[in-house]
Amino acid sequence: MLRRTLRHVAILTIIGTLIAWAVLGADRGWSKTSVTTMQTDAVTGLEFPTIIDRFVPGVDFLFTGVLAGVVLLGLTFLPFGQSSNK
Amino acid sequence: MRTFFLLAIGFTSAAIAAPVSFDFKDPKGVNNVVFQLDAPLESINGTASGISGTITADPANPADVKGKIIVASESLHVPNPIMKGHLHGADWLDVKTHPEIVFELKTVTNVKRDGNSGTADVQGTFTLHGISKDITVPVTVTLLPGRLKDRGGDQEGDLLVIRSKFEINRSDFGIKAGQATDKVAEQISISLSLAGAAPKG
Repeated sequence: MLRRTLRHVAILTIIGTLIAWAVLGADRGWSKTSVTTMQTDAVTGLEFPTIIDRFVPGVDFLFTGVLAGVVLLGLTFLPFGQSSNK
Repeated sequence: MRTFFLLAIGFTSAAIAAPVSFDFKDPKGVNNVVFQLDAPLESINGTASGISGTITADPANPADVKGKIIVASESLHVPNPIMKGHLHGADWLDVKTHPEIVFELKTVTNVKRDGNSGTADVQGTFTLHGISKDITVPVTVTLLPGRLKDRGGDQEGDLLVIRSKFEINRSDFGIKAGQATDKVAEQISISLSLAGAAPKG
């Protein structure tokens, strides 16, 4: 029962990570906690940055999430507790 | 070097007699520096907004152009917080020890003027990470006579818009010289977008 639950958690972790990464921008760089957009000042014509606090997951987030899920999934195939069941 | 005066002041009129000083501390927060370094996964793109300084030109003595632009090191921003910590830290810019990045104007050459705009090469002393070096940067200058009030204030005056793009080598300024070149490129591309204000009256 615990093994099955862990497998579900592992698969949900992998799928959740993939979905979160894709929905939040599918950024192929490092994760970011802010997004910079350029605007143009009407009088001077200068472009200037506007920084907005927003989390954008990068490949480090993707790698960590998928790795955590895979490790968890791998744990469910280890023979813990099987000897006591015999 | 009658040059910078021509660019910065001469556009308006010959009637100006006193030195004119443009203040680059912009209350609207438009003045900025954009910097870029190549790196393996993605280029490091950052900005800085803590800009101040003045540029003064004397119509009676066009060769006498003074001024400097100061960037608060602490205002350098990159979107990844770990990277920002490294950038500000003692191994890289060490912003606590070196709180300012300064470009001090010395001479101006190769002036080309077109109405209220012009281009030139500005020689000056660039100080970064506590190390000063003389560099030459190309600039585009535009004078906007009487446009200061259009930015929302009560004061009449002129605006001086300066744009420049140039590159420096981080090792020239003692920033991990010869180290971590596989992680962060040696060259730093810098783009300046500045507006200085000269209030009248």
